[in-house]
Amino acid sequence: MTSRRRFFELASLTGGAVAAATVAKAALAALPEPVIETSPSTRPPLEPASGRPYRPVVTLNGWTLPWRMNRGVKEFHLVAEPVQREFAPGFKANLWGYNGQSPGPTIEVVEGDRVRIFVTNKLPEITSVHWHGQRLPPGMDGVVGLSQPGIPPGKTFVYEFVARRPGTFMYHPHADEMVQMAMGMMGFWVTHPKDKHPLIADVDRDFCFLLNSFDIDPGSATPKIMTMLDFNIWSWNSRVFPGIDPLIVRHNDRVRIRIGNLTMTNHPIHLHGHEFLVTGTDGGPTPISTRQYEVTQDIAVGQMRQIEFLADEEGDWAFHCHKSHHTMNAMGHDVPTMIGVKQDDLAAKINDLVPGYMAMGERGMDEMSTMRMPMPKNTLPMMMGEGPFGAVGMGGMFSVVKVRRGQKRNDYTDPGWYRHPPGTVAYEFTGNAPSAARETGAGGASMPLKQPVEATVNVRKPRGHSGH
Amino acid sequence: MLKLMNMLRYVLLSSLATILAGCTTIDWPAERAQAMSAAAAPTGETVDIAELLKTPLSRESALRIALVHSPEMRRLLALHEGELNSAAMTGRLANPSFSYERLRSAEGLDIERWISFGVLDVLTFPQRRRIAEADVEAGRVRLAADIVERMTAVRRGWVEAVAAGEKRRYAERVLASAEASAELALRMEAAGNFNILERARQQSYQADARSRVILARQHELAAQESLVRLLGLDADQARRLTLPARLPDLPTDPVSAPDVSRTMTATRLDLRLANAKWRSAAAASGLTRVTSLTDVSLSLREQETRGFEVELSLPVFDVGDLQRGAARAQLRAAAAELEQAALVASSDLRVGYAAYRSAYEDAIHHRDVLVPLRKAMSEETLLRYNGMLIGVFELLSDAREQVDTVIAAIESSERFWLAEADLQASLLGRPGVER
Ligand SMILES: [Cu+2]
Repeated sequence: MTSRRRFFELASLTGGAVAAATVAKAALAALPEPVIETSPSTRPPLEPASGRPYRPVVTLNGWTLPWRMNRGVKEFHLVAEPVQREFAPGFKANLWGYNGQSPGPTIEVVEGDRVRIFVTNKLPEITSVHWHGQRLPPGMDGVVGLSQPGIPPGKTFVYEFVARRPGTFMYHPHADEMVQMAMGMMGFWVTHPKDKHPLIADVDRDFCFLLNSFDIDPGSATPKIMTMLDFNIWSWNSRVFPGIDPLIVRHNDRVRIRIGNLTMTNHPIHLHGHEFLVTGTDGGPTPISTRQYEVTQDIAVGQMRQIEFLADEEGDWAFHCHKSHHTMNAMGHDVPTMIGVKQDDLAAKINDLVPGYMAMGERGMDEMSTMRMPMPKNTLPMMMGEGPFGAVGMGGMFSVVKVRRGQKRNDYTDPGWYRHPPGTVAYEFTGNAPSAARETGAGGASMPLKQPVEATVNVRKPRGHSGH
Repeated sequence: MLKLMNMLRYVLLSSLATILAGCTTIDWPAERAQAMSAAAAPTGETVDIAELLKTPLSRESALRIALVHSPEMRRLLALHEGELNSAAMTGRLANPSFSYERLRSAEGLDIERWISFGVLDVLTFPQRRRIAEADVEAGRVRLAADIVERMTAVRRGWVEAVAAGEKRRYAERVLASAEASAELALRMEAAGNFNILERARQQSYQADARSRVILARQHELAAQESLVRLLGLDADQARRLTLPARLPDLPTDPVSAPDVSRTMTATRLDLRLANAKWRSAAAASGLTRVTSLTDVSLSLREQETRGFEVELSLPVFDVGDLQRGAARAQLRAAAAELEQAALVASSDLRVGYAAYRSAYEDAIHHRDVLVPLRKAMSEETLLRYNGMLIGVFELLSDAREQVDTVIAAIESSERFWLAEADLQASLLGRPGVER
């Protein structure tokens, strides 16, 4: 599964001798050996083995790229290449990414670090890397044609700059950008403060992930690169529920979550059970005076937000985008509403023409989350997930923040489902339900209609996604 | 006087001997059997129609009913029996006339008995016999050709009737699907989930489908009645007639070019007929040595670029030195006709065989490529419906499209079996009745 080359880990674990020997070899080529990671599971935080110390982040269903120190310069090696990414068990996509995965590895540095990034292009066309949000020389900004020529296939370019301000950043190509981002090329960047910073608190857990979206026709595996808005895969770090790992938190931990949006629409990210503060944006830490408690933070296209909260409520708390169709997997955008339409008696007739047909939707679509019917290959059901109380019926941008008293510091292992204290779970009422008195009049109006409205208007979801 | 009598007796006796030795007579049952065999017709003199109508009528049974039972066939046979006998008549001496004269004269009673016959008749007898033989042969060939024509009509009629039934049933399936859509659409509108436009759209599919079913039913009825006429069934039998639900499977081994070459002999009906005419004309012109048509050779081979090619070699008819005269002109005409018949035969085979092969390839293409592709699409469509990626109306619309593909496949199979019927006729030398 993991084809990771362990050089950097070895170097950091066993100390100088091994590291020196290997570095000497690599130094001959003057190019750090690339580290490749293909497992889609969340890797533990990478404690810095060299350079200034900092508290590392946890990349949701991702990892942090190891580096080598070369005469005071942090050297990273990104390899832009075609990858295969599992979005959740049962669904894999052919993407473009970095070092074995989409998104690419998170790059973590410290404010003031001189950073040298080797970028090797193993794609069939030119690429470049734009260091989204960074202060840097314009020649290092990665815009093909404007700030540099494209990196031709098979070639390696070197970017070098000082990480001048602490904060949350992203990286992505600025060459054939629409295609390369639609194919999954992006990554996270965190610059930690070098000293105590008045606006940057110490936290116990620091998570990060990118919002990304794809249009992958059910049954196929490669994104449709020309799609503008009508995406059907809404993912966090190229994972969808139930493939997204839960965010494991110790009770009373101070938690920071950094989120970057590289989709083509906004996402109101909503946390259950807690209020959070937005402590940072694209431009850096927010002034204290601007912070207010929220339970939902909208993140616009190309933006980054970091939110912080005290995890003082134990439990399994939903954490998701509040656009309900973004917490679904691939689904039909033009499926008619069948609610209230009896189909059973026509089923035999239809079955005669379409063997295997089953009537669906008469009572809503929840049955979809429990019915398991054959579907196009490499396609996830629209609604999935098994929780402690049954089907969750979700997909896409949905995960769970698990707050536990017993969790150890720095322990990210899943504690399992929350055990609710007795009497704290919603239960069925078994008494007699009195029928409520209902108003039957149409209500007052400032300008009554001359013609009465004949039928009630039923609520239905908007069609398509073009109105985001 | 006595000398004359002796001479006459001699002529009479020798002529009678000749006549008795080589007189052209018609053995009708044998002629009929031969013609049936030349037409590759199924054997059997009787047919139990009631029994055959108990089960869906096969093509073979249809042929047997048509050949044995149908009044049209019986009319045809009777006509030919008469024609053959007339033709044979030419080769016989007219009946001698016998006269008896009793004269009472002064010398007493003088009784004269005469047997008279045309001397010319007797003298030209061998020649006329040759003409008659050729004419009888021509009659035989016409008989066989007419049987082939009948059989082709029956085969085609059967194929068309079976295909019409098959198409009608599938049209009804489209209608059933459209009806389900329309009914669902009405319920959708009643529930407030559809507007009038969407409901009307679904209903219009149903209306179209119903119109197609009406046409398909009429087409089926007409095709069945056409077959009923070919078989000569009465109203009661027609009511009991049922046909197979499907056309036969396509053959795994279609007729090949070498198969066709093997059948291209001088026994082809068209060549036999032209040959008989030529012999008749030759006999009439006094030509005794008649070139046999067994010298004609045909071969068909498959060509990569030009399809199928039939090659033909004819004997050279040396008619140039014949003397002038009407008979000679007729002989030249018959020779030319024979040559033309051979040319037409080869051209007809090229066309017929190419039509047969292309119909076969098209039908196989429908069966092995188009229908499976559509089926795969429908399977995927159902999977997409299962995943709520499409709705039930799209599913039903796909079912209708799938039926269209099936109907196109039935039509391709029908075209093949029609071409096959034509090819069978073509191979025997009776080109397709209505290509
Ligand atoms: Cu969203």
